[in-house]
Amino acid sequence: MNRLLEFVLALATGSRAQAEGLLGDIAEENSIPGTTNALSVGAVLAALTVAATFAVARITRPVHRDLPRPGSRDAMMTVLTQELRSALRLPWRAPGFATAAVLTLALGIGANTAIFSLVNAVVLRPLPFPDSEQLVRVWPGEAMTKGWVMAFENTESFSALAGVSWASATLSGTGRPIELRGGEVSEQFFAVTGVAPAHGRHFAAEDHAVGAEPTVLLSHELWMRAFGGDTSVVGQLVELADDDVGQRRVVGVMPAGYQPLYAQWEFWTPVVIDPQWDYPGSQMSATAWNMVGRLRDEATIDSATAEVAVIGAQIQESAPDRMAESALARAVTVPLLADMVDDERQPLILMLGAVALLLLIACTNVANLLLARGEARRRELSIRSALGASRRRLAAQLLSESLVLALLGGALGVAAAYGAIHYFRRDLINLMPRGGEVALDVNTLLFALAVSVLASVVFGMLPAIRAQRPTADARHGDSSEQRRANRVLVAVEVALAIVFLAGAGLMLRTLSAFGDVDPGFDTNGVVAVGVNAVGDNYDDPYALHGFFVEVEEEVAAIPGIPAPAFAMSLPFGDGSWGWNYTIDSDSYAEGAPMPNAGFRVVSTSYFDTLGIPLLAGRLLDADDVHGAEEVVVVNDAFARPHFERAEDAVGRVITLNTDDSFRIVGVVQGIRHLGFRSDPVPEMYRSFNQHPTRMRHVVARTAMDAESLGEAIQAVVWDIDPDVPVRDAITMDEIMRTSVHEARLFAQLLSAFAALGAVLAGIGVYGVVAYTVSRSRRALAIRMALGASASSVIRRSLREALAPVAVGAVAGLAGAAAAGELLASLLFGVTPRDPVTPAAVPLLLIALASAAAWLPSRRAARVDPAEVLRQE
Amino acid sequence: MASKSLGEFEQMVLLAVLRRGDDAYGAAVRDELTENTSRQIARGAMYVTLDRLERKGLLRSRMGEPTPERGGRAKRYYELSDDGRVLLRQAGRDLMNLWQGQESLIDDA
Repeated sequence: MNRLLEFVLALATGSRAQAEGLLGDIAEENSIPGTTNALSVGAVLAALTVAATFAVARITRPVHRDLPRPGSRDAMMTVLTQELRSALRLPWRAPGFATAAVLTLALGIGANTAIFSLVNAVVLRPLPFPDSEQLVRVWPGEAMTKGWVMAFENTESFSALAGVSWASATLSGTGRPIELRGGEVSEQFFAVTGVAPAHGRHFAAEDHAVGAEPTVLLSHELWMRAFGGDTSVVGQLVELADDDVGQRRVVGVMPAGYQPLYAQWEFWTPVVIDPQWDYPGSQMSATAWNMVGRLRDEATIDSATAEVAVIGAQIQESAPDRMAESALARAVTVPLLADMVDDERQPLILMLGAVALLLLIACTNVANLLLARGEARRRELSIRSALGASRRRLAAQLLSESLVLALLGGALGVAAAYGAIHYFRRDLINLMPRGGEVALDVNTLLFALAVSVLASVVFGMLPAIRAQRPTADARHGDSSEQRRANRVLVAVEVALAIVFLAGAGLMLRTLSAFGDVDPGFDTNGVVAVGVNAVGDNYDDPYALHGFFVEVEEEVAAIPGIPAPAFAMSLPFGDGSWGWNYTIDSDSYAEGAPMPNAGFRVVSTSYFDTLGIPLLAGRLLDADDVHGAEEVVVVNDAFARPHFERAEDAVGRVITLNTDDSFRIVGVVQGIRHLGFRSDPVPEMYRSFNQHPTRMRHVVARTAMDAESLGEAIQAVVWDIDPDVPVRDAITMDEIMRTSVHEARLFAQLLSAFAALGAVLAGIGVYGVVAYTVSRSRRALAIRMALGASASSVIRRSLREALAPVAVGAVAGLAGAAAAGELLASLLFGVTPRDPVTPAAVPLLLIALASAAAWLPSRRAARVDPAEVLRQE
Repeated sequence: MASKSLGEFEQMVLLAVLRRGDDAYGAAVRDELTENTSRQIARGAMYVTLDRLERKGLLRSRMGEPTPERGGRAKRYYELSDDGRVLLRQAGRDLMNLWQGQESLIDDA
């Protein structure tokens, strides 16, 4: 900050010594007792005020035109500095024009800067690990299992390779029990990232051995939150319980901000792999494993991919039932950064494209402003030209003015971008990986500078070229060349406006479609509360069942909750395990894929509570208990591929590849469990009474607000077992909103940019057309003097004005179609080739352009032609 | 040098520099002005004036020693140049001549 201030002051005063003395004085006068170097807010403001005063004083200081010998190097520099200085006074000379131009540019440059800072932070900046370009994600083609990780040890391409999986656990003994998310990692995980613990040690080989004492590494954030940053916790046993383990010994604490996969994990545990397993695929793990690796110096992505495929083939050979041969073709190694931000890349690039177009519109508008102003300045330029200023010199003057406008716009734009980034920072952290790292760094500032300079050339060129021909006498109206330039401007503005309006239309309809989508059930008033019974007490399925039955009874007794239900996983949030199955022991051709369906365990009242309609057969009921026939309810997406009518599914028997069999007793309507974008997938529901697995959610439809319901359920659960963590209640509507949060934000941003662009382009179209028509007032007047009627004159000028509009409209429609295809992946509930938007948009613009042409030509037609001719 | 003239504020700043003697750096000059005049002295205006007076050749400046309470930054000391002294003396004389016999105006206030 100090250096920046010193730099700004040096820039404003033109002297580093001056800046140092000034800042020293200000520091001395505003010094905070006890500190020697920090500047207070007051001091910073004072320094900025002084800098501004200096800048104004320098700009308004008279320019002395002592010309050195023409053609010399000195002369060039003198010309340049003189023109720049004189240009710096532009905002004082023409404040209205300058304000309009600077604000327009600030909008364009600010939007570009803000989006670039996002792209820079998420996609461009290297990951915060040593030699991070060596980090890769490894994907053998099929979902990994624990055992397969072993097969990837001792490779030639990787200096370290590790498996990692999501894990959850409950921490108790530090206040109310809390649920934590973390990672289960294989031995070389920390060697891959190359980051040492801040306290304690990494996992050693012994920690991964069968029968080893369970250990854990804490994140800095968890360590601060739950243990107050006490180093003595390292080496202690903590109550960190999951499905298998009740306590773990803390071996270390990772440094602050250590999040290799940006998953906001709070702990890491060592995976235990039994080397006695016969073949790598023998251990069916319940969780999917990801592999991350660090390439050796000499290895490339291609050599690593080839090696992964070879290992994959070995696994496939030893476990053909676990990995299909076709999966090997999908084996890849990708840079970790590219893999992590894969989903964000396309929307971000689209947004960059949108803001670049926005800037182009801003430039076109400013060019138009400059052209109009050029008319007013023709006299000034002619006089300078008459006094001996060369054409080059006049062009230098105009380009300097453009540069000053662009830099002022850029400065304002950067300030706006800074504000926007701070405003959205909290959202960005949760929204996308590395979103929290968005900042205005040197790269971004350089980008803003480059964009500003580029913009000044784009919008300054046409007016500067035109100024090279000051001989074109204003009295003869525009030359054909100038008219052509105007027509090009109109066509460009119209084309851009159409692209933007069409894009805005598509994005707005996507936004409204998010609100209209039918999730498959009635979300109104449905509230979910996470209840996670873990630990030794609940290892026994009957104990688990007993606990939830008790909770259900107690919750049902709370007034205002008519029918509480339980579910293993919630719609829109959780996936479900997929299982291969056969129906009525149908045989499947060798190698043909078996059908696969998701598996969900629910309590009997689940369907009623969520309002999921029954299509055939019956729902799960109280008679489906342990010992009775094993039954399932399937959804229509399950039944449809096998049976013509839903009723036909009822009574058939499903056999899973685990050899468990169930009879289908009912068919219900499908829910969009996996999110808005995917239609309901095939799913089976089993009764909690027959399959007492870990239930995680209490679901209820209630008129109570979520918070008090959450507290009531919390009280009930803790009354039964104070060690079971209960999450805050969340409404189903909220869960739905969250599930489309990112898509919605992109849609909102894009529609905002598109709407801004459309407004700017609309203003531009109006401005260019009105300007062009008013330039031909003299021609109109002559025609009228020669006897043409007012209406024929107006018709003619409308026709002339609309010709380039039509050309622009055609180009714009083509552009809009292309933009629609590009946006396709972000659209929802509307197709890119949606006919409504493109049809409506050109009509809107033609109406706008007609108004722009009609008003000035009517004015011209009403005035006495002699008056117009005299004026000109 | 006779062609140069001094504005009122320029005169005040030159006098403040003169009064401060060897200790005339920005913050001290401002103190001097604030203590001895009825004006609110805008920091920026004063520094711009110091700068302008130096450009006109009426002030000279040199960098002094850095001190800790300034964040290790050096002081920029000012002193009157010969031209500055001549011009200030002339301006003072002119003013005193004009004030002669009108001192009651100050005392009444």
